Amino acid sequence: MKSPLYILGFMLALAAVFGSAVTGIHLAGAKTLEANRTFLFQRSLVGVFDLAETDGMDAQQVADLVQRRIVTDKILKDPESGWETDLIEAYEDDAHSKLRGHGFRFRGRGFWGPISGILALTPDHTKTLGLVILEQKETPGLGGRVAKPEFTQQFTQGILTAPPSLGQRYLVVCATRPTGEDAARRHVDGITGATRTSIAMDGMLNEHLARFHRAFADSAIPNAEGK
Amino acid sequence: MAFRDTPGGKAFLANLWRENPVFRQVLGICSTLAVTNLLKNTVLMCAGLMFTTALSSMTISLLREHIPKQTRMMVQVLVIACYVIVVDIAIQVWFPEVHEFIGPYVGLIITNCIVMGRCEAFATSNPPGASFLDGLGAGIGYAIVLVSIAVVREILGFGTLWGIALPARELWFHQWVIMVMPPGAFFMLALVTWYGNARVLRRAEGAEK
Repeated sequence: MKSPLYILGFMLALAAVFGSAVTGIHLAGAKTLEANRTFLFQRSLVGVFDLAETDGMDAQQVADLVQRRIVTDKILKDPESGWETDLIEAYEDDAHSKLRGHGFRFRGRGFWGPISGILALTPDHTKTLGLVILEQKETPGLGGRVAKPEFTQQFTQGILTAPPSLGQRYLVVCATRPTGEDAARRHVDGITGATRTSIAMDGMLNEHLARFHRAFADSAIPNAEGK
Repeated sequence: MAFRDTPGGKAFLANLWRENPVFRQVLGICSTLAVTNLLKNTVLMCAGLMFTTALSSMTISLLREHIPKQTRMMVQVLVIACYVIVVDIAIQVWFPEVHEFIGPYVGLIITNCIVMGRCEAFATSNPPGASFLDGLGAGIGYAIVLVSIAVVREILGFGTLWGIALPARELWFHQWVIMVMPPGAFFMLALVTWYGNARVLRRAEGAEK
């Protein structure tokens, strides 16, 4: 039978040794981890605005492109909900003479956990340019397909995001294409076998689009139409 | 002395099939259900578990003379958690994209009963080398079952293997949604358990006769 003092000392020593080892390993990898996170985020930015094909690009090339073409120094605030976000501005050239589009980050509750991403819109905010999912914890193979091209590529086709008529939604994420020209242009094909994830995406995209439009209208930043 | 006659060799070989941790000891079932719908995720998860089981068993064995009996489980959890954090960091550093998908499951290795089970049942009373082999064998035994389940689930659930579409997929593939969902793993696990137990018991009966 070991004495209580021995037990206490042993546990403290063990915790110190293993804690230090893990901290050391974490610190040793911290730079790479941060670089990986930055690279994944920057690659998502380039991808969502379709600024370049990132497959053959290394981290430095992606970082350079982001620095030259993307600006995130303006903040939007929705006067109704108080929601704040960085406005992501992407340009087609290094001189920033032609705006490719605006983007914003969204976040909401999915089926198993939070889903967050970036939605990019045309300069006049009437159509989508792209969508990328940065974080999701949905069922792999079902709701997890929300981050896959089969879902996100639909947003590169220019889904209508102009303010809808009263009582209507900006986007409709569902399985069946609705009738009516305006409704059909706002339709996003839902994910088969992941109804709850589709409903969650529908809710969070509509909520954030409404916030974005209000916040932008309330700001002094000009869009493609001069407002 | 042949490898299979050494304590470590015996434990290693027994864990692969005769005393397989999944279908004979019914341990590690949670992750079996969670990660087996894609082969790539399964293989990485199994590699993480092999690393953790082998090294935590060896570490516990090295410390076994000094660990107070009253706190042995706390020590085991501490050691296992450290190795799991190492696995988690390694995947984040070398496979950042894969980590996005299996990250939540890697942390769950800490709660995998196989790891603590081998520490408690074997490493606390055997030398480090034998404990390492025992842990490694348990990890490989776990991997054999999980990979078998994952192969079937990915083919039936996605029509792919390791993410690559199988030949003429458009002609024959119709998705079995249940194979993608956790209930699909229940059915597969039951089949593997039935097959594995039947084989082991039949062989044992044959040996008795």
